[in-house]
Amino acid sequence: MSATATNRIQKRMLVRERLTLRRLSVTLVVLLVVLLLFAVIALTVGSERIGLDAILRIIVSELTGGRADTPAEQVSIITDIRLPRVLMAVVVGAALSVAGAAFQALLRNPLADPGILGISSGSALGAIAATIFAESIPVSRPIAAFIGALITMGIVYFIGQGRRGGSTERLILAGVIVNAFLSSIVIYLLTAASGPRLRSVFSWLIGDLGGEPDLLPVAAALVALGIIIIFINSRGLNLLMTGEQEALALGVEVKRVQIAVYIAASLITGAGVAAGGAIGFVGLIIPHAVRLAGGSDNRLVIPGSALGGGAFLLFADTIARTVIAPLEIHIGVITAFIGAPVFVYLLRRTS
Amino acid sequence: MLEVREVRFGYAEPVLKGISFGVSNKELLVVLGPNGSGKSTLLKIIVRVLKPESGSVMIDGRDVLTMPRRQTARLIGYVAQESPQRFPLTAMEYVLQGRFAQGRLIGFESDEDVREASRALEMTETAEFATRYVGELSGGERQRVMLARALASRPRLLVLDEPVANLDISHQVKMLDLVKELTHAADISAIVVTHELNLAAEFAARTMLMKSGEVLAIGEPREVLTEERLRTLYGTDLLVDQNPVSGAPRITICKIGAEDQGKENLKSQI
Amino acid sequence: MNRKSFFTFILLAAVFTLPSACAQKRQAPAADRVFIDEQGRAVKINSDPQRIISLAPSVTETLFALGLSDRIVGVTSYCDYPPEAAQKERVGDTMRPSLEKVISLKPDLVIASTASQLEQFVQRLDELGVPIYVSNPRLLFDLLSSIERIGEITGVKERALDLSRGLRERIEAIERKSAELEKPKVLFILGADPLITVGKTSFVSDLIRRAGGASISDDVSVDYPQYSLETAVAKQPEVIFLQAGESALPSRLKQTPAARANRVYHLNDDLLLRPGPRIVDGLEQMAEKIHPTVN
Repeated sequence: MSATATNRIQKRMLVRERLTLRRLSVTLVVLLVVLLLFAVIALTVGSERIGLDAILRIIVSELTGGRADTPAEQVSIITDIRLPRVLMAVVVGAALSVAGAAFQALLRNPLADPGILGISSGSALGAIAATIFAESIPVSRPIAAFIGALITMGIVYFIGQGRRGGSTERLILAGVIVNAFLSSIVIYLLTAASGPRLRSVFSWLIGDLGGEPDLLPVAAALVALGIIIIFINSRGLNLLMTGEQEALALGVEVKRVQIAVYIAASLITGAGVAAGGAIGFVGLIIPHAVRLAGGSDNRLVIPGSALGGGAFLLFADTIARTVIAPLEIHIGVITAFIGAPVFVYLLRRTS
Repeated sequence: MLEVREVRFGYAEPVLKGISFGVSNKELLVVLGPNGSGKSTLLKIIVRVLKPESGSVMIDGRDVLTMPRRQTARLIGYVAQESPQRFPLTAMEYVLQGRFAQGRLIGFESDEDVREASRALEMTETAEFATRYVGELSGGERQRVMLARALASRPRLLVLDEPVANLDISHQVKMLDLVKELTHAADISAIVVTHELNLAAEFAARTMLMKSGEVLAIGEPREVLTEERLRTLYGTDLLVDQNPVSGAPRITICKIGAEDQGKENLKSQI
Repeated sequence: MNRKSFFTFILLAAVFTLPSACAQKRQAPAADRVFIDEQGRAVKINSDPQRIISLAPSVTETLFALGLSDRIVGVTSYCDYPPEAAQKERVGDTMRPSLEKVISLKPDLVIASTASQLEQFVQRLDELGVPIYVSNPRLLFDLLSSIERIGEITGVKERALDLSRGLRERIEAIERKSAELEKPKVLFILGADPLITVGKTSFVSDLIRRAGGASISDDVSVDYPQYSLETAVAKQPEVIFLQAGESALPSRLKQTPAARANRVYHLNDDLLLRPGPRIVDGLEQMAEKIHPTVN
């Protein structure tokens, strides 16, 4: 291969002109590999030591329907505890990251994150209210969380816009106010409702992936549906991101895209929070990292955030489970620890 | 080519009070008028950002306002007033947005889209910026990239809202030169809104003066930009004579002794 | 003396004489004694307190068991045992008692428990000169001495000694029975989602030990830790106790000897989590579940 040809290839690899199908596939495959790697690590690491060979035997026997020659408690740890938790991390991470990316494009604001805007709190409030008042209804939690997200988003948008259009600061202030308001309602509900649920409600507010996995299939289906809807609209979102009026002039059916993405993003926030709680900062860090690595095109940012968010929560949860095992740290502690500095960095850069 | 008829806009307070005018093939029309006279609103109606209360906008005999939005986008290229870009986007990505109306809704740009975008970049002499972020370009470079996006769909009409507002005098001239050249070479008509009276006089085939939502005058610059009319419209003392080089009207601000008078005023206050 | 300075004089006089007047009022029954409470604080208490406020359900139960029901003038809204406690004046809940209410009841003794985490409230009362005694039973036998101390400060020392002697005998009886037996592994679940259990230093762990079991979460020195579910499964508990508020055993704990052998029990947490005299009832119930054959 001649020097110039190598040079040209190198140039094509390094210099990004636009998103091509090739670039998209390469990036997604890399992210998928990282996700799978983290999933394997999350499956093999824990407060209890189980050998890799034992884990493989358990998984193979689970898939083939046979019985592993491993102790029953090890089978239970892998299939009942670690595996659901891995899936939970992937689903919740994908949900919150894609919701973040979608809200950022929708509001033309890289600081929009379901946690910062109070949308996660709205979902959590919905889920908590459903737990207190309608626990017997099977899918009341994700539905209430979805409604909570939808209403909160509407309120935040209304406050953040103002009469002469919104600014970054105004939107974030709106989020702060709404967050404060919602926490007062949550605290009221906690005071008024009976005691023993208190602890699990708290873990909802800060996030916990180790809960009962009974909501996992429903949440996974809703999150997948929402991500697909947002992905379908990603070209329109690209144009919307540079300016609403310009998008109209360039032929985007702006209202249709906005409503579809708004509902889909609220849906996945609701489903994610109902399953794993309001884990903060994921929706901020991940889309930002994906943009940094591969550009702002939402055809990459949306699926990239889904995979990256899943991988990130797997990573954070593995840390939360293992550093002071058998004690567990709240995963929100880990994500906030990484996320808050990223937020400050972004805030300084945008304003 | 473009036919705007009886366009009205504004519910409580009328912003446009039944505006009618036309632009012919390859013509550059510059729209002038004080702040709040309805210039930008008019442009936004033509590109369908705003919906008029009544009236019609026709291009080559077809009603723009009722056709699918994507079809309008293919006919009209719009350069809006500059707004800050908060997400990193390369110039190529930006210009490819201009192909949205041609492309598939889902999926990737075709080779043709890329070809057209490259062509638009070349026409505006911005091909070298293709891989650079739009936010990192200088004001003049960015304006040309914005123009390139408007050109990427090979429109019949260009609509530019204050394209020279933030540019120095050499970039202003360069920009309008480019637009004028496009109308000649690429079979495009153009409507430009600006506050620069002298530039308008120099480059426009025709100028249109607007006053509180109505057309005050439309025609060749020398007919429209008369001293009497501009004085009353802007409420400022100014002098209109002839540019000795081009022969176009030349507008000069008159504040004879203004400085001295100001000093007098200050003294009396102290 | 003009009017203005006259009023100033009156005001100043009032400011200086009021506190001493108040202090005198409290000193009236004379014979104050200084006790050191269970946190090492010095508390001045008169020899025969007649207006007692309890700031914890466990303390209320102790006071009733000592036959002091007539002298209790205030309890918390959580104090529901014995039923007569509910008829006493409420001063707020355990975590947030009302300072105003407490003061307005003019207590000559307030008893709190460290379990309610009222450090700041205790300090406020201290500053206001209200005698407040803090009980701090960390282990089962601390409770017995705590009961004796409360008997001493309230002037019913003999009754308190009788009560603690009786409790001590019952505890020793249980310990004797289980001494020679092997110790089943016990998981005590305070909260199921996330899993909250009891650490080595907690009161409940002491109960488990004395009831003849071995708490699997004794490896943690936090009182109420959020505990790894998979460690709980891996340690294969043979008996699981659930707090009454938790409806069912989490499905992911099904692969444990306790679940397989149907040895998952709900316990009345009032008996276990309130360090009062009834805790020995709780201990007996626990021992019965751990060693059903003997107890």
